[in-house]
Amino acid sequence: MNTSLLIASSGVRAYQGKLDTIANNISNVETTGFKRRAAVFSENLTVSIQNQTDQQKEVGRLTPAGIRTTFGSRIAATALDLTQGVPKQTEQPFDFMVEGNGYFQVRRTTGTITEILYTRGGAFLQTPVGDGRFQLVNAQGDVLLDQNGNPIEMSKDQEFVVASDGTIAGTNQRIGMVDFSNPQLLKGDGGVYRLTGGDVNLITTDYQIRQGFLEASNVDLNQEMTEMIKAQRGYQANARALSYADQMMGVANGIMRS
Amino acid sequence: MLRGIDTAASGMIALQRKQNALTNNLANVETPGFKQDSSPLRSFPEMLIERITNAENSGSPTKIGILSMGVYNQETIPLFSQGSLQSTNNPFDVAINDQALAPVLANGQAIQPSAFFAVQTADGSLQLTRNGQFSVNENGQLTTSSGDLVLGKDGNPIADQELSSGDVSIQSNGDIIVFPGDPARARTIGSLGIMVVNNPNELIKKDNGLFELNGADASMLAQTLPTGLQLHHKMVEQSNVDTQSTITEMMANIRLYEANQKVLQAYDKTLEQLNTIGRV
Repeated sequence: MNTSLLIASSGVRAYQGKLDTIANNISNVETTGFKRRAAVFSENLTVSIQNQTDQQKEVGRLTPAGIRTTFGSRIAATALDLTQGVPKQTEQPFDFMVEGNGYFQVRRTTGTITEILYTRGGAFLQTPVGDGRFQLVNAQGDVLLDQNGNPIEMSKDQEFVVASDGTIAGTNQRIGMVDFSNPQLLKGDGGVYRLTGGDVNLITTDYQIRQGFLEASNVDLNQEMTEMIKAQRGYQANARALSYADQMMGVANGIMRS
Repeated sequence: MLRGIDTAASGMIALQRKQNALTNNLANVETPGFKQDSSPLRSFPEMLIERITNAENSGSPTKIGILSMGVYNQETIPLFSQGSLQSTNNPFDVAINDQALAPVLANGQAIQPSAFFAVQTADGSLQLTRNGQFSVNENGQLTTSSGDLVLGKDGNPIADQELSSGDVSIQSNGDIIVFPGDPARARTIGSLGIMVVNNPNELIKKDNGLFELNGADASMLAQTLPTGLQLHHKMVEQSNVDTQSTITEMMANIRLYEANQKVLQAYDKTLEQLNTIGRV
């Protein structure tokens, strides 16, 4: 089998993965609290071919015996870039922005299953729960939780003011902020994150909550476009290599003329 | 049998291997810390041919000359030149800049030494890499993107529960400080182990961008970095592959491959002619 065909196809596949990551970043350039991901390339497995066992016949050889080819590249990881997004003023009382570390906790109820999810997207809406009382929910209907894991609730006529540490004026509730031992283990699920490992800790410092602001996505369109050009050209070069491998196989096939 | 037919075939095999190395360089244009391979071709050991019988006199047989029996891809030599540095936002990215290291004299030749991060693979062996795009695993250990543990100067994996917070500063001498902005909590949790290899050509390339040095052990990790060697935090070293020249070389390579095929065909034609002689 023609090895360069396999190597080139691994390169094409890796670049496809990078393009997918960039496309996702670009499509979320306006998503509140979105954190971009960066694709990381890595080399693949290496084989050592023993091509000349007689060392003394290779005068002037620089490297240890054998020849070593790596089988292309792959996407090793898509690391979450946790840089702070810029603030976007909205003047909405239920929009919050986290400055610094920390994530909001929201509770999602699907049928009989409830789970706690995490988000940086601070755009919330009121939803009535009866008796003229309201809870805060995000666009997916997940309920915002306080420091004790209870839904944040208020009455209709109450003025809603949130201090920078998350405390809601006139109540004993505080927006519960959490941080993770390893934020890289968060898995995105449409605007919210699900934790796949590590610890969750309730935090009281290292963050400030700004009411009336939203955290814009940390995607920089200039940077993504530059990366996209690079990825596209890389894809192209590897596709070219693929066609070279095909040409070589064609040449090999042509040895025997009919 | 015609000698040249095997020579032409050996040419095709050698060029195929060279093409593999070039394709691999191209596939790793964006792999951090990748070092491009060059693959020099070498002639097979030459043979001296001489006439079997000598009609003129009874002396030693007349020498006709030397004959080469073909070519093979001798070695793949990684080119350890410095890749350019690109800044990133990842708190665990470190790049080595060893461009200014003083050349070392070996076998009468001045060789540019190369510096590497030391990692411990799953089987416990010590290997080297230039890919400084690290992350932290669930045990708080600093790892490479393929999961190998990054070693500190003391030869042990760098690990700390507070490492994964991402609030990290890596100094140019390799010291890792967590919470650098908060004097109350700031502390040094370790220092990156760097190995300076005087003759990088002795390295054996392994999987996932790692290199192995025979006889390397943790005591060889530099305690203080030599002058001319710096670490850069929040930077990655890009691959040193030159796309344009790689593509050009690949194009030339295909044509050479094709030329060898034509030689094979010419031999085929000759043999075909030979076969027609005896036809009745």
